[in-house]
Amino acid sequence: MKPAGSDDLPLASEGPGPEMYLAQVRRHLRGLPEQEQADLLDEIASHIESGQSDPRMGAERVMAELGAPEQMGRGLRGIHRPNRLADLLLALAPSYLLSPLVTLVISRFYGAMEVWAVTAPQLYLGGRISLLLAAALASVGRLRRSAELTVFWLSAGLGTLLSLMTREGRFLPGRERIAGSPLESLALYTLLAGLCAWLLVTLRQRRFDPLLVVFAALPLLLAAANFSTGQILLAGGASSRIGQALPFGSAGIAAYQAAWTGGLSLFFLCTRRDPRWSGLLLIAMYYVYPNLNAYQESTGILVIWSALLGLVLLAWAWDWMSRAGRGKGHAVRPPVSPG
Amino acid sequence: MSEIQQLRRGSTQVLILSVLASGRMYGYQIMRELEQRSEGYFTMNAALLYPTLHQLEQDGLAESEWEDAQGRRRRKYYTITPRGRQKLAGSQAEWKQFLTSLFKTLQIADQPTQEKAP
Repeated sequence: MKPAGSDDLPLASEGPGPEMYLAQVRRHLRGLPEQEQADLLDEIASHIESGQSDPRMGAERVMAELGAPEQMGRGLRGIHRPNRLADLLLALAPSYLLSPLVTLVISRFYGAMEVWAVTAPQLYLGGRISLLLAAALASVGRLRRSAELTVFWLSAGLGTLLSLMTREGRFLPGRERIAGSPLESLALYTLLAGLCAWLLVTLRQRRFDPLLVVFAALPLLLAAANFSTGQILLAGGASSRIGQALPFGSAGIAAYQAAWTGGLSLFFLCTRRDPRWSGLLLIAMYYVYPNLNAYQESTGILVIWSALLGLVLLAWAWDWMSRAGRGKGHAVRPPVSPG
Repeated sequence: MSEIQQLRRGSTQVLILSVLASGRMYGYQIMRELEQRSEGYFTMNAALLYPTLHQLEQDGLAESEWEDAQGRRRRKYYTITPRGRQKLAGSQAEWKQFLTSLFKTLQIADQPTQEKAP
Protein backbone atom coordinates (compact mmCIF):
# COMPACT_ATOMS: atom_id res chain seq x y z
CA MET A 1 0.00 0.00 0.00
CA LYS A 2 1.32 3.43 -0.84
CA PRO A 3 0.12 6.91 -1.52
CA ALA A 4 0.16 7.81 -5.19
CA GLY A 5 3.59 8.82 -6.28
CA SER A 6 5.46 7.58 -3.20
CA ASP A 7 8.57 5.54 -3.84
CA ASP A 8 8.03 2.44 -1.69
CA LEU A 9 6.91 0.36 -4.65
CA PRO A 10 8.77 -0.17 -7.89
CA LEU A 11 7.42 2.02 -10.65
CA ALA A 12 10.35 1.54 -12.95
CA SER A 13 9.42 1.52 -16.61
CA GLU A 14 12.33 -0.71 -17.46
CA GLY A 15 10.62 -3.70 -15.75
CA PRO A 16 9.95 -6.97 -17.55
CA GLY A 17 7.26 -7.36 -20.22
CA PRO A 18 4.16 -9.46 -19.51
CA GLU A 19 5.65 -12.77 -20.67
CA MET A 20 8.86 -12.32 -18.75
CA TYR A 21 6.94 -11.15 -15.68
CA LEU A 22 4.76 -14.27 -15.74
CA ALA A 23 7.80 -16.48 -16.28
CA GLN A 24 9.50 -14.92 -13.25
CA VAL A 25 6.41 -15.43 -11.08
CA ARG A 26 6.14 -19.03 -12.31
CA ARG A 27 9.65 -19.67 -11.03
CA HIS A 28 8.44 -18.90 -7.51
CA LEU A 29 5.44 -21.17 -7.82
CA ARG A 30 7.42 -24.36 -8.34
CA GLY A 31 6.23 -27.12 -6.06
CA LEU A 32 2.58 -26.23 -6.54
CA PRO A 33 0.36 -28.54 -8.63
CA GLU A 34 0.37 -27.63 -12.36
CA GLN A 35 -3.30 -26.65 -12.42
CA GLU A 36 -2.87 -24.38 -9.44
CA GLN A 37 0.13 -22.68 -11.05
CA ALA A 38 -1.86 -22.24 -14.26
CA ASP A 39 -4.80 -20.66 -12.39
CA LEU A 40 -2.55 -18.26 -10.50
CA LEU A 41 -0.74 -17.16 -13.65
CA ASP A 42 -4.01 -16.89 -15.53
CA GLU A 43 -5.33 -14.46 -12.96
CA ILE A 44 -2.25 -12.23 -13.31
CA ALA A 45 -2.42 -12.46 -17.10
CA SER A 46 -6.09 -11.48 -16.93
CA HIS A 47 -5.11 -8.52 -14.74
CA ILE A 48 -2.56 -7.38 -17.33
CA GLU A 49 -5.14 -7.78 -20.10
CA SER A 50 -7.69 -5.69 -18.17
CA GLY A 51 -5.10 -2.98 -17.69
CA GLN A 52 -4.09 -3.01 -21.34
CA SER A 53 -7.71 -2.62 -22.43
CA ASP A 54 -8.26 0.28 -20.02
CA PRO A 55 -7.83 3.55 -21.95
CA ARG A 56 -6.78 5.37 -18.76
CA MET A 57 -3.73 3.14 -18.42
CA GLY A 58 -0.55 3.03 -20.41
CA ALA A 59 1.36 -0.21 -20.92
CA GLU A 60 4.14 1.04 -18.64
CA ARG A 61 1.78 1.87 -15.80
CA VAL A 62 0.08 -1.52 -16.07
CA MET A 63 3.42 -3.30 -15.68
CA ALA A 64 4.64 -0.97 -12.94
CA GLU A 65 1.48 -1.52 -10.91
CA LEU A 66 2.06 -5.26 -10.88
CA GLY A 67 4.87 -4.89 -8.35
CA ALA A 68 8.01 -7.00 -8.33
CA PRO A 69 7.55 -10.54 -9.69
CA GLU A 70 9.50 -11.84 -6.68
CA GLN A 71 7.05 -10.15 -4.31
CA MET A 72 4.09 -11.55 -6.24
CA GLY A 73 5.58 -15.06 -6.41
CA ARG A 74 6.61 -15.18 -2.76
CA GLY A 75 3.28 -13.78 -1.63
CA LEU A 76 1.30 -16.40 -3.53
CA ARG A 77 3.68 -19.16 -2.60
CA GLY A 78 3.27 -18.40 1.10
CA ILE A 79 -0.48 -18.73 0.87
CA HIS A 80 -0.86 -21.67 -1.47
CA ARG A 81 1.39 -23.92 0.61
CA PRO A 82 3.67 -25.49 -1.95
CA ASN A 83 5.07 -28.92 -1.22
CA ARG A 84 1.94 -29.91 0.64
CA LEU A 85 2.90 -33.49 -0.16
CA ALA A 86 6.09 -33.07 1.88
CA ASP A 87 3.98 -31.79 4.79
CA LEU A 88 1.71 -34.81 4.49
CA LEU A 89 4.69 -37.16 4.48
CA LEU A 90 6.14 -35.38 7.50
CA ALA A 91 2.88 -36.11 9.27
CA LEU A 92 2.34 -39.65 8.00
CA ALA A 93 5.81 -41.20 7.97
CA PRO A 94 6.72 -40.46 11.60
CA SER A 95 3.24 -41.55 12.71
CA TYR A 96 3.71 -44.93 11.06
CA LEU A 97 7.44 -45.43 11.51
CA LEU A 98 8.91 -43.56 14.45
CA SER A 99 6.54 -44.65 17.19
CA PRO A 100 6.93 -48.40 16.53
CA LEU A 101 10.67 -47.81 16.13
CA VAL A 102 10.90 -46.17 19.55
CA THR A 103 8.91 -49.03 21.07
CA LEU A 104 11.20 -51.56 19.39
CA VAL A 105 14.41 -49.87 20.57
CA ILE A 106 13.16 -49.54 24.14
CA SER A 107 11.97 -53.14 24.18
CA ARG A 108 15.47 -54.24 23.16
CA PHE A 109 16.81 -52.68 26.35
CA TYR A 110 13.98 -53.38 28.77
CA GLY A 111 12.27 -56.43 27.34
CA ALA A 112 8.58 -56.84 26.56
CA MET A 113 6.29 -54.06 27.67
CA GLU A 114 3.73 -54.54 30.41
CA VAL A 115 0.88 -52.36 29.30
CA TRP A 116 -0.72 -51.76 32.70
CA ALA A 117 2.49 -51.27 34.69
CA VAL A 118 2.51 -47.48 34.89
CA THR A 119 5.96 -47.33 36.43
CA ALA A 120 7.51 -49.52 33.73
CA PRO A 121 10.59 -47.83 32.28
CA GLN A 122 9.34 -48.68 28.80
CA LEU A 123 6.21 -46.59 29.24
CA TYR A 124 8.05 -43.87 31.11
CA LEU A 125 10.75 -43.51 28.45
CA GLY A 126 8.48 -44.27 25.51
CA GLY A 127 6.08 -41.46 26.46
CA ARG A 128 8.90 -38.97 26.84
CA ILE A 129 10.62 -39.90 23.59
CA SER A 130 7.29 -39.64 21.72
CA LEU A 131 6.79 -36.24 23.30
CA LEU A 132 10.23 -35.06 22.23
CA LEU A 133 9.68 -36.31 18.70
CA ALA A 134 6.31 -34.56 18.50
CA ALA A 135 7.85 -31.28 19.72
CA ALA A 136 10.76 -31.65 17.26
CA LEU A 137 8.37 -32.31 14.36
CA ALA A 138 6.18 -29.36 15.41
CA SER A 139 9.33 -27.23 15.19
CA VAL A 140 9.91 -28.59 11.68
CA GLY A 141 6.36 -27.49 10.85
CA ARG A 142 7.14 -24.05 12.26
CA LEU A 143 10.32 -23.80 10.18
CA ARG A 144 8.39 -24.82 7.07
CA ARG A 145 5.74 -22.23 7.98
CA SER A 146 3.17 -24.96 7.75
CA ALA A 147 0.43 -24.31 10.32
CA GLU A 148 -1.11 -27.69 9.44
CA LEU A 149 2.05 -29.65 10.20
CA THR A 150 2.77 -27.63 13.34
CA VAL A 151 -0.76 -28.11 14.64
CA PHE A 152 -0.73 -31.83 13.79
CA TRP A 153 2.37 -32.50 15.87
CA LEU A 154 1.47 -30.07 18.65
CA SER A 155 -1.90 -31.77 19.10
CA ALA A 156 -0.27 -35.19 18.95
CA GLY A 157 2.26 -34.04 21.55
CA LEU A 158 -0.47 -32.62 23.78
CA GLY A 159 -2.47 -35.85 23.46
CA THR A 160 0.62 -37.88 24.44
CA LEU A 161 1.40 -35.53 27.33
CA LEU A 162 -2.13 -35.57 28.69
CA SER A 163 -2.37 -39.37 28.55
CA LEU A 164 1.10 -39.68 30.12
CA MET A 165 0.19 -37.26 32.93
CA THR A 166 -3.12 -39.03 33.56
CA ARG A 167 -1.42 -42.44 33.62
CA GLU A 168 1.23 -41.25 36.04
CA GLY A 169 -1.33 -39.52 38.29
CA ARG A 170 0.16 -36.08 37.67
CA PHE A 171 -3.22 -34.40 37.95
CA LEU A 172 -3.51 -35.52 41.57
CA PRO A 173 -0.88 -33.39 43.38
CA GLY A 174 0.99 -35.37 46.03
CA ARG A 175 -0.48 -38.64 44.80
CA GLU A 176 1.73 -39.21 41.77
CA ARG A 177 2.18 -42.87 40.91
CA ILE A 178 5.88 -42.41 40.22
CA ALA A 179 8.33 -41.72 43.04
CA GLY A 180 10.22 -38.42 43.29
CA SER A 181 7.66 -36.73 41.16
CA PRO A 182 6.60 -33.27 42.39
CA LEU A 183 9.43 -31.49 40.58
CA GLU A 184 8.89 -33.58 37.49
CA SER A 185 5.16 -32.85 37.72
CA LEU A 186 5.98 -29.14 37.75
CA ALA A 187 8.17 -29.59 34.66
CA LEU A 188 5.36 -31.49 32.89
CA TYR A 189 2.80 -28.80 33.83
CA THR A 190 5.15 -26.17 32.45
CA LEU A 191 5.53 -28.18 29.25
CA LEU A 192 1.75 -28.56 29.04
CA ALA A 193 1.29 -24.81 29.38
CA GLY A 194 4.04 -24.18 26.81
CA LEU A 195 2.54 -26.54 24.22
CA CYS A 196 -0.95 -25.08 24.77
CA ALA A 197 0.40 -21.54 24.33
CA TRP A 198 2.28 -22.56 21.16
CA LEU A 199 -0.85 -24.17 19.76
CA LEU A 200 -2.95 -21.11 20.56
CA VAL A 201 -0.42 -18.77 18.95
CA THR A 202 -0.35 -20.94 15.80
CA LEU A 203 -4.15 -20.99 15.64
CA ARG A 204 -4.31 -17.25 16.26
CA GLN A 205 -1.95 -16.65 13.34
CA ARG A 206 -4.56 -18.35 11.18
CA ARG A 207 -7.29 -16.27 12.83
CA PHE A 208 -8.75 -19.35 14.51
CA ASP A 209 -9.83 -20.85 11.22
CA PRO A 210 -12.49 -23.41 12.29
CA LEU A 211 -10.96 -26.02 10.01
CA LEU A 212 -7.63 -25.80 11.78
CA VAL A 213 -9.23 -25.45 15.22
CA VAL A 214 -11.14 -28.72 14.75
CA PHE A 215 -8.01 -30.39 13.38
CA ALA A 216 -6.17 -29.28 16.53
CA ALA A 217 -8.97 -30.25 18.87
CA LEU A 218 -9.61 -33.69 17.39
CA PRO A 219 -6.75 -35.58 19.12
CA LEU A 220 -7.63 -33.88 22.40
CA LEU A 221 -11.33 -34.70 22.05
CA LEU A 222 -10.37 -38.29 21.22
CA ALA A 223 -8.22 -38.47 24.35
CA ALA A 224 -11.14 -37.11 26.40
CA ALA A 225 -13.58 -39.58 24.83
CA ASN A 226 -11.18 -42.47 25.49
CA PHE A 227 -10.72 -41.34 29.08
CA SER A 228 -14.49 -41.07 29.64
CA THR A 229 -15.02 -44.50 28.06
CA GLY A 230 -12.40 -45.93 30.38
CA GLN A 231 -14.10 -44.36 33.40
CA ILE A 232 -17.50 -45.78 32.43
CA LEU A 233 -15.94 -49.22 31.92
CA LEU A 234 -14.12 -49.02 35.27
CA ALA A 235 -17.33 -48.06 37.01
CA GLY A 236 -18.87 -51.20 35.55
CA GLY A 237 -21.37 -49.17 33.59
CA ALA A 238 -20.74 -50.99 30.34
CA SER A 239 -19.40 -54.17 28.85
CA SER A 240 -17.03 -54.16 25.93
CA ARG A 241 -17.57 -56.24 22.82
CA ILE A 242 -14.16 -55.33 21.51
CA GLY A 243 -14.17 -58.31 19.15
CA GLN A 244 -17.03 -56.71 17.25
CA ALA A 245 -15.36 -53.33 16.93
CA LEU A 246 -14.50 -53.96 13.30
CA PRO A 247 -17.00 -56.42 11.85
CA PHE A 248 -15.29 -56.78 8.45
CA GLY A 249 -13.14 -59.29 6.68
CA SER A 250 -9.41 -58.66 6.26
CA ALA A 251 -9.98 -56.54 3.14
CA GLY A 252 -12.50 -54.44 4.99
CA ILE A 253 -10.08 -53.93 7.85
CA ALA A 254 -7.35 -52.88 5.41
CA ALA A 255 -9.76 -50.37 3.87
CA TYR A 256 -10.67 -49.15 7.32
CA GLN A 257 -6.98 -48.68 8.18
CA ALA A 258 -6.59 -46.62 5.00
CA ALA A 259 -9.32 -44.23 6.16
CA TRP A 260 -6.99 -42.39 8.52
CA THR A 261 -4.33 -41.96 5.84
CA GLY A 262 -7.01 -40.93 3.35
CA GLY A 263 -8.50 -38.39 5.72
CA LEU A 264 -5.13 -36.89 6.53
CA SER A 265 -4.27 -36.77 2.80
CA LEU A 266 -7.48 -34.89 2.00
CA PHE A 267 -6.80 -32.45 4.80
CA PHE A 268 -3.19 -31.77 3.86
CA LEU A 269 -3.32 -31.93 0.07
CA CYS A 270 -6.55 -30.15 -0.80
CA THR A 271 -6.86 -26.39 -0.84
CA ARG A 272 -10.65 -26.24 -1.00
CA ARG A 273 -12.37 -26.31 2.33
CA ASP A 274 -15.06 -28.96 1.84
CA PRO A 275 -12.69 -31.79 0.82
CA ARG A 276 -10.54 -30.82 3.80
CA TRP A 277 -13.57 -31.01 6.10
CA SER A 278 -14.45 -34.42 4.65
CA GLY A 279 -10.88 -35.48 5.49
CA LEU A 280 -11.42 -34.45 9.11
CA LEU A 281 -14.72 -36.31 9.18
CA LEU A 282 -13.00 -39.42 7.83
CA ILE A 283 -10.35 -39.20 10.57
CA ALA A 284 -13.05 -38.77 13.22
CA MET A 285 -15.02 -41.72 11.84
CA TYR A 286 -11.90 -43.85 11.92
CA TYR A 287 -11.84 -43.47 15.70
CA VAL A 288 -15.55 -43.31 16.39
CA TYR A 289 -16.76 -46.29 14.34
CA PRO A 290 -15.06 -49.11 16.35
CA ASN A 291 -16.23 -47.58 19.61
CA LEU A 292 -19.82 -47.39 18.40
CA ASN A 293 -19.60 -51.07 17.49
CA ALA A 294 -17.82 -52.24 20.63
CA TYR A 295 -20.06 -50.46 23.13
CA GLN A 296 -23.48 -50.81 21.56
CA GLU A 297 -25.08 -51.53 24.92
CA SER A 298 -23.79 -48.48 26.73
CA THR A 299 -25.83 -45.37 26.00
CA GLY A 300 -23.29 -43.21 27.83
CA ILE A 301 -20.38 -44.32 25.65
CA LEU A 302 -22.48 -44.14 22.49
CA VAL A 303 -23.46 -40.57 23.34
CA ILE A 304 -19.82 -39.58 23.97
CA TRP A 305 -18.56 -40.91 20.64
CA SER A 306 -21.57 -39.78 18.64
CA ALA A 307 -21.16 -36.30 20.12
CA LEU A 308 -17.58 -36.23 18.89
CA LEU A 309 -18.70 -37.02 15.35
CA GLY A 310 -21.55 -34.56 15.72
CA LEU A 311 -19.14 -31.79 16.74
CA VAL A 312 -17.10 -32.23 13.56
CA LEU A 313 -20.26 -32.26 11.43
CA LEU A 314 -21.61 -29.21 13.23
CA ALA A 315 -18.38 -27.27 12.73
CA TRP A 316 -18.35 -28.22 9.04
CA ALA A 317 -22.01 -27.18 8.65
CA TRP A 318 -21.34 -23.86 10.38
CA ASP A 319 -18.35 -23.19 8.13
CA TRP A 320 -20.32 -24.22 5.05
CA MET A 321 -23.29 -22.02 5.94
CA SER A 322 -21.11 -19.02 6.60
CA ARG A 323 -19.66 -19.46 3.10
CA ALA A 324 -22.91 -20.42 1.40
CA GLY A 325 -24.72 -17.26 2.51
CA ARG A 326 -22.46 -15.05 0.41
CA GLY A 327 -23.60 -12.06 -1.54
CA LYS A 328 -27.27 -12.19 -0.51
CA GLY A 329 -28.99 -8.86 -0.89
CA HIS A 330 -25.99 -7.17 -2.46
CA ALA A 331 -26.15 -5.91 -5.96
CA VAL A 332 -23.45 -6.87 -8.44
CA ARG A 333 -21.64 -3.71 -9.41
CA PRO A 334 -20.56 -3.10 -12.96
CA PRO A 335 -16.81 -3.11 -13.54
CA VAL A 336 -15.03 0.16 -12.87
CA SER A 337 -12.89 -0.28 -15.91
CA PRO A 338 -14.16 -0.81 -19.41
CA GLY A 339 -14.15 -4.26 -20.95
CA MET B 1 9.02 2.30 6.61
CA SER B 2 7.23 5.32 8.10
CA GLU B 3 4.46 4.99 10.70
CA ILE B 4 1.85 6.03 8.16
CA GLN B 5 3.11 3.44 5.66
CA GLN B 6 2.91 0.79 8.38
CA LEU B 7 -0.67 1.82 9.08
CA ARG B 8 -1.49 1.60 5.39
CA ARG B 9 -0.04 -1.90 5.16
CA GLY B 10 -1.99 -2.94 8.24
CA SER B 11 -5.20 -1.77 6.63
CA THR B 12 -4.82 -3.73 3.37
CA GLN B 13 -7.30 -6.48 4.26
CA VAL B 14 -9.94 -4.15 5.60
CA LEU B 15 -9.66 -1.87 2.55
CA ILE B 16 -10.14 -4.80 0.18
CA LEU B 17 -13.05 -6.14 2.23
CA SER B 18 -14.68 -2.72 2.26
CA VAL B 19 -14.45 -2.56 -1.53
CA LEU B 20 -15.83 -6.10 -1.86
CA ALA B 21 -18.67 -5.24 0.53
CA SER B 22 -20.21 -3.21 -2.26
CA GLY B 23 -20.25 -6.06 -4.75
CA ARG B 24 -18.57 -8.87 -6.61
CA MET B 25 -15.36 -7.75 -8.33
CA TYR B 26 -12.21 -9.03 -10.02
CA GLY B 27 -8.69 -8.04 -8.99
CA TYR B 28 -8.07 -5.23 -11.46
CA GLN B 29 -11.48 -3.77 -10.71
CA ILE B 30 -10.78 -3.80 -6.95
CA MET B 31 -7.54 -1.91 -7.55
CA ARG B 32 -9.25 0.82 -9.59
CA GLU B 33 -12.22 1.04 -7.22
CA LEU B 34 -9.88 1.53 -4.27
CA GLU B 35 -8.01 4.25 -6.12
CA GLN B 36 -11.24 5.96 -7.14
CA ARG B 37 -12.78 5.87 -3.67
CA SER B 38 -9.68 7.32 -2.02
CA GLU B 39 -9.32 9.88 -4.79
CA GLY B 40 -5.96 8.45 -5.68
CA TYR B 41 -4.56 8.36 -2.15
CA PHE B 42 -4.60 4.59 -1.81
CA THR B 43 -2.98 2.63 -4.57
CA MET B 44 -1.98 -0.97 -4.20
CA ASN B 45 0.27 -2.99 -6.44
CA ALA B 46 -0.93 -6.33 -7.74
CA ALA B 47 1.84 -8.17 -5.87
CA LEU B 48 0.17 -7.08 -2.64
CA LEU B 49 -3.42 -7.30 -3.86
CA TYR B 50 -3.50 -10.89 -5.12
CA PRO B 51 -1.78 -12.62 -2.18
CA THR B 52 -4.11 -10.66 0.13
CA LEU B 53 -7.16 -11.72 -1.89
CA HIS B 54 -6.04 -15.34 -1.78
CA GLN B 55 -5.41 -15.07 1.95
CA LEU B 56 -8.90 -13.65 2.45
CA GLU B 57 -10.25 -16.59 0.47
CA GLN B 58 -8.37 -19.14 2.51
CA ASP B 59 -9.56 -17.50 5.70
CA GLY B 60 -13.14 -17.81 4.51
CA LEU B 61 -13.57 -14.03 4.37
CA ALA B 62 -13.96 -13.93 0.59
CA GLU B 63 -14.89 -16.42 -2.11
CA SER B 64 -14.04 -16.52 -5.75
CA GLU B 65 -15.28 -17.97 -8.98
CA TRP B 66 -13.94 -17.93 -12.51
CA GLU B 67 -16.08 -16.43 -15.19
CA ASP B 68 -15.44 -17.16 -18.85
CA ALA B 69 -16.06 -14.60 -21.52
CA GLN B 70 -15.74 -14.49 -25.28
CA GLY B 71 -12.97 -12.45 -26.80
CA ARG B 72 -10.98 -12.03 -23.61
CA ARG B 73 -9.37 -14.05 -20.85
CA ARG B 74 -11.50 -15.51 -18.09
CA ARG B 75 -11.70 -13.44 -14.93
CA LYS B 76 -11.71 -14.44 -11.31
CA TYR B 77 -14.44 -12.66 -9.36
CA TYR B 78 -14.32 -12.24 -5.60
CA THR B 79 -17.26 -11.94 -3.21
CA ILE B 80 -17.19 -11.10 0.48
CA THR B 81 -18.61 -13.87 2.73
CA PRO B 82 -20.76 -13.34 5.84
CA ARG B 83 -17.64 -13.96 7.91
CA GLY B 84 -15.87 -11.33 5.84
CA ARG B 85 -18.66 -8.85 6.56
CA GLN B 86 -18.42 -9.68 10.25
CA LYS B 87 -14.67 -9.14 10.16
CA LEU B 88 -15.13 -5.89 8.24
CA ALA B 89 -17.64 -4.60 10.78
CA GLY B 90 -15.22 -5.42 13.62
CA SER B 91 -12.29 -3.80 11.83
CA GLN B 92 -14.30 -0.70 10.96
CA ALA B 93 -15.26 -0.27 14.62
CA GLU B 94 -11.63 -0.74 15.71
CA TRP B 95 -10.34 1.72 13.13
CA LYS B 96 -12.99 4.25 14.06
CA GLN B 97 -12.09 4.01 17.73
CA PHE B 98 -8.38 4.21 16.95
CA LEU B 99 -8.73 7.21 14.67
CA THR B 100 -11.09 9.03 17.03
CA SER B 101 -8.72 8.51 19.94
CA LEU B 102 -5.71 9.49 17.86
CA PHE B 103 -7.43 12.61 16.65
CA LYS B 104 -8.53 13.57 20.15
CA THR B 105 -5.06 12.94 21.52
CA LEU B 106 -3.45 15.06 18.84
CA GLN B 107 -5.91 17.86 19.50
CA ILE B 108 -5.21 17.64 23.24
CA ALA B 109 -1.49 17.81 22.51
CA ASP B 110 -2.09 21.00 20.54
CA GLN B 111 -4.50 22.49 23.06
CA PRO B 112 -2.07 23.45 25.88
CA THR B 113 0.13 25.33 23.43
CA GLN B 114 -2.88 27.30 22.26
CA GLU B 115 -4.06 27.95 25.84
CA LYS B 116 -0.66 29.15 26.95
CA ALA B 117 -0.47 31.56 24.09
CA PRO B 118 -1.30 35.10 25.20
